[in-house]
Amino acid sequence: MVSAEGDVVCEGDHVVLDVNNGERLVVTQVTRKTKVKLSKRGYASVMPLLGKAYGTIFEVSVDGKCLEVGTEETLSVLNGSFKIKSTERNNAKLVDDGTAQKLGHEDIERMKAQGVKSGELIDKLVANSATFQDKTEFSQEKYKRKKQKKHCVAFVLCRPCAQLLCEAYFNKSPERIRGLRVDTLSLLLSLANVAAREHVLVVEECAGLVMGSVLERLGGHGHCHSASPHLDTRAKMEALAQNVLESGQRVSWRKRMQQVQPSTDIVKFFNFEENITANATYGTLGELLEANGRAEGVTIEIGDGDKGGAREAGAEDEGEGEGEDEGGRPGKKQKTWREQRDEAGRQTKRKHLPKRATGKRTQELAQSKFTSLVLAAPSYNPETLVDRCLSLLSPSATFAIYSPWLQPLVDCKLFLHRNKLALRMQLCECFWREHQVLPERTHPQMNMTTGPTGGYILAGVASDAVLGHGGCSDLEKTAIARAAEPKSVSDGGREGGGVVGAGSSAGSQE
Amino acid sequence: MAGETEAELNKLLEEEEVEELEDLPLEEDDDDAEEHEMVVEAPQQPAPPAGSKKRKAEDVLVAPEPEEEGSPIAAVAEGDLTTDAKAADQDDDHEHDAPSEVVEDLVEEEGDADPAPGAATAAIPWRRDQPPSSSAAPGEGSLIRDGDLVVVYERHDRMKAHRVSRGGRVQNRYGIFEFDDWIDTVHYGGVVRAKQFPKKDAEGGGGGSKKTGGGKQGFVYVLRPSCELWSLVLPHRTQILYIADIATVVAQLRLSPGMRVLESGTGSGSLTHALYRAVAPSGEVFTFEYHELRSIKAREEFQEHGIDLKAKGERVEGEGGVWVEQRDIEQLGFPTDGELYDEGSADAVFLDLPGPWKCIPSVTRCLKVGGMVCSFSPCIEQVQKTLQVMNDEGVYYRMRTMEILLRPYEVRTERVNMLSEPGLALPQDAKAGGRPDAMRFEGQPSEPRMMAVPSVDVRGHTGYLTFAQKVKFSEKAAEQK
Repeated sequence: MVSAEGDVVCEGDHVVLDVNNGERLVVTQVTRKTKVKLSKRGYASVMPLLGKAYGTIFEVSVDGKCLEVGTEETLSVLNGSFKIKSTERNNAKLVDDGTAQKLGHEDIERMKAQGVKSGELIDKLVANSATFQDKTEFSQEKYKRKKQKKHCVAFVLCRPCAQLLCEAYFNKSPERIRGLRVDTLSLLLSLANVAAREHVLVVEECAGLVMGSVLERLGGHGHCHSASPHLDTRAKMEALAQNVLESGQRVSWRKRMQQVQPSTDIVKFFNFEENITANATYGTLGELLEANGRAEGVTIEIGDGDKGGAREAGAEDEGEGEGEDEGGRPGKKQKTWREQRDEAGRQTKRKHLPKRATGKRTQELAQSKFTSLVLAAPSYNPETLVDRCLSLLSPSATFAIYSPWLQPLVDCKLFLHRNKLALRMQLCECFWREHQVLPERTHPQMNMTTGPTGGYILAGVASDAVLGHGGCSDLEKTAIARAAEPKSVSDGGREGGGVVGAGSSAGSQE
Repeated sequence: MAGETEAELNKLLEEEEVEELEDLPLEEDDDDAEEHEMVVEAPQQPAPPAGSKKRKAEDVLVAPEPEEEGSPIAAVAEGDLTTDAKAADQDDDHEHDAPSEVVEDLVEEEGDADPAPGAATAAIPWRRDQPPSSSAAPGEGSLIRDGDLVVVYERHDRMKAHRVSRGGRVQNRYGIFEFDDWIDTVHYGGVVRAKQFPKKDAEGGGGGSKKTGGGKQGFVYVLRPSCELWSLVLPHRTQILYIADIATVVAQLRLSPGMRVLESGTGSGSLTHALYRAVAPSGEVFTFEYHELRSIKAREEFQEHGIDLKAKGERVEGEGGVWVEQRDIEQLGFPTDGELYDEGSADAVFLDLPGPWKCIPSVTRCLKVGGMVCSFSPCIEQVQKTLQVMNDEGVYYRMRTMEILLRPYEVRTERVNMLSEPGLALPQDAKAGGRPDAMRFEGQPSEPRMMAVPSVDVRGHTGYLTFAQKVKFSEKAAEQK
C-alpha cells in the first residue's frame, strides 16, 4: 500500500509515536543513535522504523528493547474493550485486599526475561488472579486493559503534524507552548484564514509551534514571517554589533542577536521539504516596522527625514550584517548545531528550516503587506502588539490573537473598537471534551488531559484604517524612533514625556 | 484607557449594547438565507439558469413575510426610490428588514468569464474569473473589483454576501449603496456611505440616526469573504457545521496542501470550502451529495467562488480541484472503481450522514495507510453504532470522540458597588448619573470596569466528532491471512 516514497520514514526524519491509543505521544528523530524509552524496562533503538510507512502499528517487546511491526492481534488487544457488550454479574463479592494476584513481581520479571509474549503474559496474570472470574465483564476488561498498559506497549508510527505536535507538547510541557491547546490552535489558524497563498505574519512565544502549523497550512504557497516581539531594528543591532566588536565581546553580541530572534525550535519536527520553508523567514518586529516606515516613504511617517540618515547607514551596513548572520547561525542553537554536524557526517537528509530575513526580504515583506496575522505572545500586551502589527496588514486582513488570559483580550478589543481599527471582532473560548464511547459505557472522559481551559482568542478583520495606521499612532512612532536610535533614547524619549505628540518628538530630534 | 473620560467610555459601550439589544429578537439564520435567495431571484433580471435551479432547491424555505409592504424588489428595479425608501423606513420602524434587501445581481455580468482561477489568487478567490488587473500596483491589491463577492457588514451580527457588479446596488436599512462607487475605489475593510438613505433620516426626523450607525448618512463596511464569514452568510440548504467544528475537523484530519479528501454529504458546502482551503491549490476534494438539487447548487456556488471545479475523469496529477458528485453514499458507499480516484489513496474521509456506519467498509477501502476518518453525528447512538463497525473493521486505531463548542464572550462596562459604612454621604455622581436603583444607595459605586461575560445565546451542542486512523500491520501476517 506504500504508494509514494514520501510515505516512508527516512533517516533523519522526525516522527511521532502514538503510544497505547493516545496514552502518550513521543516525538523523536530516526537516527542510528536515537533510543526511546517506551516501556519501563528499557530503551529501544528507533532504527526498525526506518523505511516503514507512516500509519504502521508497532509492538514493543516485553523487555522494552526491540520494536517490531505489529499484527492485527496487536490492534485488537488495544481495542479489546469493544467486545464486551453487556454483563449479568456484579461486583458484590469483590474484596480488594491486594492478595488476589498469585504471581509476584519476581515471577513476572522472570517471565519477561524469558521472552514471553505480551499477550501470553496477560493471560497468565488473568489465570492467576483469584478474583478475575467473579468480576463483571466490564471489570474484567478494565483489569486486562490496566495490565496491558503496564506490561505491553504498542504504538502507531505517525507523520509529525501540527495536531500531534501540539498535543504532544500540551501533554508534556504546556508551558513551552504557552498552554496553547490543539483546539485553540486550530481555531486560531481558521479564524486568521491561514491558507495557501496567504501572507502570514506570526508573533509567537510558542517555540515555533505556530509558525510550523502555519507553514503546514501554506504548503509552500504564500509567505510566513515569524517576528519576535522585540523592537530592535537592524540599525540598532548593527550599532550594537559595532560597539561589541570594538570591545572584543563577540560572543555576547551573538547571544544578544539570538535573544531577539524568535524561537523556531519546533519547526524542525515537521520534516518540511525545501519548497515549504522557501518562503519562511524570521526577524524582529522592529526590523519589519523599520522597513515598513521606509516603504511608506515620506507620506505619513513622522521624522522620516530626520532618521533617514541613520536608516541609510543601517542599510549600508547590511552587507556586512548578512555575513555576520551567516557566520553566526550555526552556533545559534548548540544542540541543533551538534545534531547537524552529526547528521552531515553521515550524509543524512538535510533539514530545511526558516531563515533569518535579509534586509531586502524584510523590505519586500513590509511592502507587500500581510493578509493574515496570528499573535500568540501572551506575555506582551496584545494592544501594543496589535497596534504595531496592524500597520503591516492589508485592509480586510484577518487576525487572531491568543492569550491564556481573558482580561488582556478584553482590553485589546476595546482598544481596537475605539480606534476603529478592526471589525467583526469576536472574543471566544473553546470548550473541548472527549468522550469514552463503548457499549453500555458511554460517558465523558474522566481524565481530561485537556486542562481547564485552552485559552482565549480575539479574532477580527482589519479595517481600512490600517492603510494610514503607520502614521496615526503616536505610540508606535515614538517606539520606532526610540528603537531606531539607541544612543538618543535618553534625551529623545524623555523630553517627549507622557504626552508624546507627533510634533513634540519631532521637535526633540532637531 | 488613558485620556478618555468615564462618560465617553460609557457612551462608546452603550452604543454597542444598544445595537446588540436591538438585534437579538429579530435575527434568525433562516431569514438571512431567504433574503439571499430573493436577491438572486429578483424579477426583471435576465433570469440565469442558476436562479431557476435555486428556486427548485429551496422548496424548504418559507415565503416572504406577509407584513412586507408593497414590493420593494420591483420598486428598486423600476428605479422608484421614494417607494423603496419608504419600505426601508417602514422596516426600520418595525425593526424588521427582511424584505428590504435588494441587489441587482448578475445584471451586467461581463462576458469574459474565465472559470480557471489564477495562479496568483488566494486559495479560494471568491470570484468567477481573474481580477481585471492581476498585477495591481502596491496598495491596490485590496481594492474591490467588479465581479467580487463581498460581505457587507452592517454590524457585528448582521452581514450579507453580495456580488459586486457595475450598475448594481444594494439596499438595506442604512440606505442604498451603488456598486459603481465601490469598484476600484474602496478598499476591503473600508466604510461605504449610502447614496440614498432612509427617508426619515433625509428629513432629519429623530430617532433614526442612531440606527444608521451614528450619522445622518448611513454606512456599512465591506469585507473580503473568508470561509468563516461565508459560513455565517451562506444560504442554508441543510444544517451546517460551525467554525469550531470545522477548525477541529481540519486539524484532526491532519490536512495540508496536496492531500486528497472525500466528503459526504456536501450539504450547504460550508465544510467543503474549508476542506478545499486546507488542501488547495494542489489538493483534491471529492464531495458526494445524494440530493441532486443540492449538489447542483453546490457546484454552482463553487464555480461562483472561483474554486477549481472539475468533472469526472478530469483529474490531472499534481493539479488540485473539487469534484461534486451526486451519489447516495450510505447505500452505495464511496466509489472504489478508480474512475475518480484510486482505491487506498485518500488521505482523509469526512462523513456527515444520518447513518455513517453503513459506509465504513468503503471508507476503509478508500483510505491510505495512516489516513484519517472523521464522522460528525449529533446523536451519541449514531456514534456508538459507527464505532462498533469501525472496530469490527479491525484496522482503525485511536478511535476518539470529542465535542467542541465555541464559547463567545461579550464585553461590557459594569460597576460593582463598594461596601461602605452607613451614614456616609451619598456621592453626588451616583445620584446624578444613575437610575433610581436601590442598590446604589447602599454603597458607593466603583469605577466602571471592563467585564467579559459568556454570551447568553449560545449553542449548547452541535455534534460529536469521531476520529480514527487507518493502520498497517506486518506484511507477513497479511500474507498468512
